[in-house]
Amino acid sequence: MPVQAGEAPVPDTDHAPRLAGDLAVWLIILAELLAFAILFLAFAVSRLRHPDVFAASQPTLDTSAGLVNTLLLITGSWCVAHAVQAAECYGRRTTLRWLVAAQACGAAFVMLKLSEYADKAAAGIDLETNVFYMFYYFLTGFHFLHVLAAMVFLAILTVSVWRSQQMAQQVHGLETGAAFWHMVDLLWIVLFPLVYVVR
Amino acid sequence: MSGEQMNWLSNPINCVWLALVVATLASYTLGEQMAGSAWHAWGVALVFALALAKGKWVADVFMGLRTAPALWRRVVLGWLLLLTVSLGGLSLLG
Repeated sequence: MPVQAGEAPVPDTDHAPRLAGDLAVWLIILAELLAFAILFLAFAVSRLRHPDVFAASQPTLDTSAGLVNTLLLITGSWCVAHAVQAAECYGRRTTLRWLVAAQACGAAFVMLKLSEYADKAAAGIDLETNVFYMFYYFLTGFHFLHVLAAMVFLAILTVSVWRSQQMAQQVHGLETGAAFWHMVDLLWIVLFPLVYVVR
Repeated sequence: MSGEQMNWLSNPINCVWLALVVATLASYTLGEQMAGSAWHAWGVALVFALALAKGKWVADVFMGLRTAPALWRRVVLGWLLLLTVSLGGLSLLG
């Protein structure tokens, strides 16, 4: 019986533990998680050392933009997870639809972040304004580069799926790209409360 | 709840997305309300607890670590737990 879109697929009967995606990307993910952890902790320690600077600067951030960006990355991750599921169960057209939707979420994130940076630049705020903004630009900028990398990764996979007639051969590549995309989402899930929410 | 909605929620990916959206909105609302309040410390703890829960859902369901070898799951969730507890603790010290 064919599975309807949106329904959970038939569970895999093979229950052996399996890492979804390529081992090399997972090793990169671990290195990225470690690098960002150091940056996040440096931000938190710096807030303890310069409470007045952080208290004055943090409220100037647009928390609503941070919220929308969080929702965009979460929704992008949801689309990517659906794309992997579609490659396993529903076929090429559904997979492509989810991949394009994920790219649209990524593109919206990029546009919103650029407009945030433009607003700050127009207000004369840059890396050298104070220690808070140095961290703000460094953390969000480093993350922004990872979003761009994830989008390039996904674009390559989209072309590969579009050209392919054998979806089974695409699943491993999609899982690998998805793992990187979800890591970018995971990092923002920590960054959003740290930089935007908690004051 | 209609059959179609039941079908939609039977997919763990959809359930996690819904939970992530609700937790994000809750985190944002807490942030807006807690500044200068008497319950600020509890608010900070709750915001980082929500980040921990969100990260776990992404890792387990989206990244598929729930069905991955235990060591990989422990490393990623350990990273998340250590980081959110440390950041929450440092934020409360300030």
